[in-house]
Amino acid sequence: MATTETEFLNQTRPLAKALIDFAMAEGKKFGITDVEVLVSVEDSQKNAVENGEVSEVISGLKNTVLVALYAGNRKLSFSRQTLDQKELCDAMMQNMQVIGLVPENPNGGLLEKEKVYKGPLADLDVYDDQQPDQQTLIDYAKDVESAALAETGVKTTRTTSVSKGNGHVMLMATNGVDYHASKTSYSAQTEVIAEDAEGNMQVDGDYSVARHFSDMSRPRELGTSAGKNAVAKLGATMPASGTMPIILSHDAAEDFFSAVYAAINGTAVFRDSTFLKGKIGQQVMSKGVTLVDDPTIVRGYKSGQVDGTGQKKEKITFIEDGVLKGYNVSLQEARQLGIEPIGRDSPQPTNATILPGQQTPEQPISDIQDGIYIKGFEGGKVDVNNGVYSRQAYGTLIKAGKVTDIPVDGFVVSGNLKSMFMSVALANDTPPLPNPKYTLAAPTTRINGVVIAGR
Amino acid sequence: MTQKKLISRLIGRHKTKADKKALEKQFFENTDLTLKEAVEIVQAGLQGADFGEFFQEVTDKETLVKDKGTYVTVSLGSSESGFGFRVGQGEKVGYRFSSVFNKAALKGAIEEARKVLDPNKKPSTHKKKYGAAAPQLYTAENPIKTQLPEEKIAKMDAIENYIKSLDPRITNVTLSYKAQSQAVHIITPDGQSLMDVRPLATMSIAVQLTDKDGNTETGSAIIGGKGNCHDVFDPKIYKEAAKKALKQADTLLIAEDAPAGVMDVVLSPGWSAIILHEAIGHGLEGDFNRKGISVYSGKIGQKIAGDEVTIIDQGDLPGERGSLQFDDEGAPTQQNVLVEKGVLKKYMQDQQNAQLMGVDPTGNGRRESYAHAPMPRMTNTYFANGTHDPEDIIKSVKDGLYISDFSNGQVDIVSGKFNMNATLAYRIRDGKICEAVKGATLTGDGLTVLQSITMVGNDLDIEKSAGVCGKNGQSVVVSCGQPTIRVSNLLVGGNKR
Repeated sequence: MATTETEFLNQTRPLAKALIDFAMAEGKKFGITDVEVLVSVEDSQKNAVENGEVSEVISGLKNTVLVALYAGNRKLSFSRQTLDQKELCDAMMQNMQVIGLVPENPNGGLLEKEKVYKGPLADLDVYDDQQPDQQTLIDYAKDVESAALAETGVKTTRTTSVSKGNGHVMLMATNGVDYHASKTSYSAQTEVIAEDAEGNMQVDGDYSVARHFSDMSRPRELGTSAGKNAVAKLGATMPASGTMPIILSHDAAEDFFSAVYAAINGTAVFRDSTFLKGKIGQQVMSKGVTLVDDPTIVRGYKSGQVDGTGQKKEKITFIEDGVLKGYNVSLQEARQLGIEPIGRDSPQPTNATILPGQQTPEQPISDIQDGIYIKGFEGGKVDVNNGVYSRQAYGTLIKAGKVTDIPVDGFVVSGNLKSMFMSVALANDTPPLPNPKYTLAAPTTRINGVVIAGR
Repeated sequence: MTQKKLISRLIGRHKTKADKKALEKQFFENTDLTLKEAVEIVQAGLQGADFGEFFQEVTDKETLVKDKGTYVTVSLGSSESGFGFRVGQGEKVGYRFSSVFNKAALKGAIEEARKVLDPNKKPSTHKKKYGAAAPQLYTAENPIKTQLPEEKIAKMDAIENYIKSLDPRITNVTLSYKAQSQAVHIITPDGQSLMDVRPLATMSIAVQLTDKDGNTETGSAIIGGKGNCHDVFDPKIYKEAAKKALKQADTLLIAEDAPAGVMDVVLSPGWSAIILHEAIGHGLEGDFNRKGISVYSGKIGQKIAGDEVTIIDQGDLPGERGSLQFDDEGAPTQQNVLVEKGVLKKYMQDQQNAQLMGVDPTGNGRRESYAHAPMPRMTNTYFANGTHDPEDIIKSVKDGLYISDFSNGQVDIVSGKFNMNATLAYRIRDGKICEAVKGATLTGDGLTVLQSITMVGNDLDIEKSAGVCGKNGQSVVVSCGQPTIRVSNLLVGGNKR
């Protein structure tokens, strides 16, 4: 049985308080000045099906306590997978005894008291009160698989599964942070194998993620889409090499624009290892490109009220009409760079949107004589220091202004992000958030002058 | 060559065996269970199943990260602990894990996991194999407990100072030290209680150089591996690694963009075998082949490569990163010759897929942690030595590429198509190594690469420090190795116009 929020709080709130009290009382002689405790409890289950039958059921419970001790500018942290107070106090005592050995980190301290958010919290509705039973999840997975198998050309599925998570966290610290949150998560994925008459196989799939089960993609649509994706790859050949425009599907565009996050990452800026260092206020992407990072979207997959330090999370525009407005910094990185913290604690997008452009999805394609419609990237290299972008990709050919169904794969898309960012044209079809698939929603995107390494 | 010396030195030191009494205390002291009771309960819980086991771990961890002169992360005394119980019947698996370990949790997990079992089915009579490989492959010393944190901090400071003294153009040094000691306990269906301690300690070194025009490049190296942390803090070892990282950054600053096109490629010994791991190794894992969805499915006994190609996965190599006394299902690790003189011999198996394919398990059932169910995974995977002098291999190439440093790669098992990224490579012209190039991506498919291996060197080197393999969301530590190898006609993607 999954833990409810009330059960969680009843069990862990006294524990967190006791741990903090212990550290502040017993830690005096070791110079302890602050302590922060993060408690998390997560139940999870995964149900996989194969050929219409349940093949794997994995479920479990994980309790974690993360403690950060501070003695002035010295910070020492540890985590344990137990809620046992005595065991945690023993571990804390061991660490307090050695905290004096830890070198000082002037930027590592807790958030300043006055920045700790104490105001009202909006209901982001990221906890599902109508959690389905296991059989419902299994039936969903079976529907995904049977829809995929029904597509002509599909040989089998490699894996089809539906997972559910039910998690609670509590953050308490001596700077006044006292925050808890509960989230449910669902994910479904299938990998489908298609086979042609000669026995050549191709694999592709599809997935869905959501905070509420009712927000997930419909299972039959998910399966059908996965099946079609795999079948569409059959007979793929390597395209001819050359320099040409490419069009990115929503999937490929999500992947491409995630490079912006790598380039504005606080650690990279601090280390001078991104080509966007020192570029605030400058045109770094084509005019018309606006990137909004919004943790306040109701039912958004990456929504949250405060960050891991207790600061309120708010909507941030990192790129506005192609101009770089700010970096994605954690509290420590903000201090290192001498700027104000922004209420972010992850280098990943929260709920990110590339705002829609002016053109219909067909317009950016219409003047392309020879090009490639990229459906997805598969690994490769993105180096934000020197801008090198080199990715294996697959998709279909564009001929005479139209996307054909002639599949291509095994080729490499090469370019430099410095110029690729400045060669972007956007369609007006950005998927809305929350979305059963994307956490970075981007429209159909054209990039000019890309090197394709094929045959 | 240096790596080989290291191997022999380490082997000499691997004498400390896990102390079973102390481990038993660690696993059971905070529970209402004794080992004997746990074995009885698990034995009963595995009744009627084809396969399964109880897996328990306590993994101590510590991390020290120094970046631009400041310790940004100091984490001491962390641990991950819990257990998992698994039963399987044919293609079905039931698994339940918990970070809480006591009698009630164990009984509850057994009840939950067994729900997948069909009580009317008779258990498989397929032969299983459990136990530990002999002899001891690595030390049981805990890297976290053999040196004090202040000693490690002082040594990291010394490493940083040494690196900074090497070149005035160095603008940043990042040192990331990570150590862990995973104590595992497995109760197998035949009632064995297997315990082991798996230590791992590594340091990654990143050196950033800035030239007079403000261009920066970062070179990196990683040291340490399976075992205690002595190697990480050995001046001989870290100095050599620091110089390598520095040279890499320096070369990257002057390197041109890699060319694009089809060319002959020479792979340097050691870590280049990540191409073997990705492009070939994954396709030889039992789960894909049981389902018939690997490009290597149904090809046992067939000639898939030239006579010079022999590929081995071996979990019982002394001191190597992917070595284990027993796998995460309690099967002894062993040497598995996957491809012998070009002929496909066998796949890597866990208990389930071995049973379903009617073959012996190979000691390749692995999992990331107690919160994960095992599946077939690689351990230490390498190309065996061939006969060629590495110099002759380079001399044989008229116009091609010498790959010196790969970063990462991935594979599509079904088509066999892979892509590999080379941090640093060199052009080969008329048999000579010439200018450095960066940003080369190699793509192709594993079967074609195997058939395109035209020369295999005699300088096998197994990489000890870097390998982490991801599959279905689970990470495990592995190693890979190879001698110098020539592959003809590989597709290189580069930025040069």
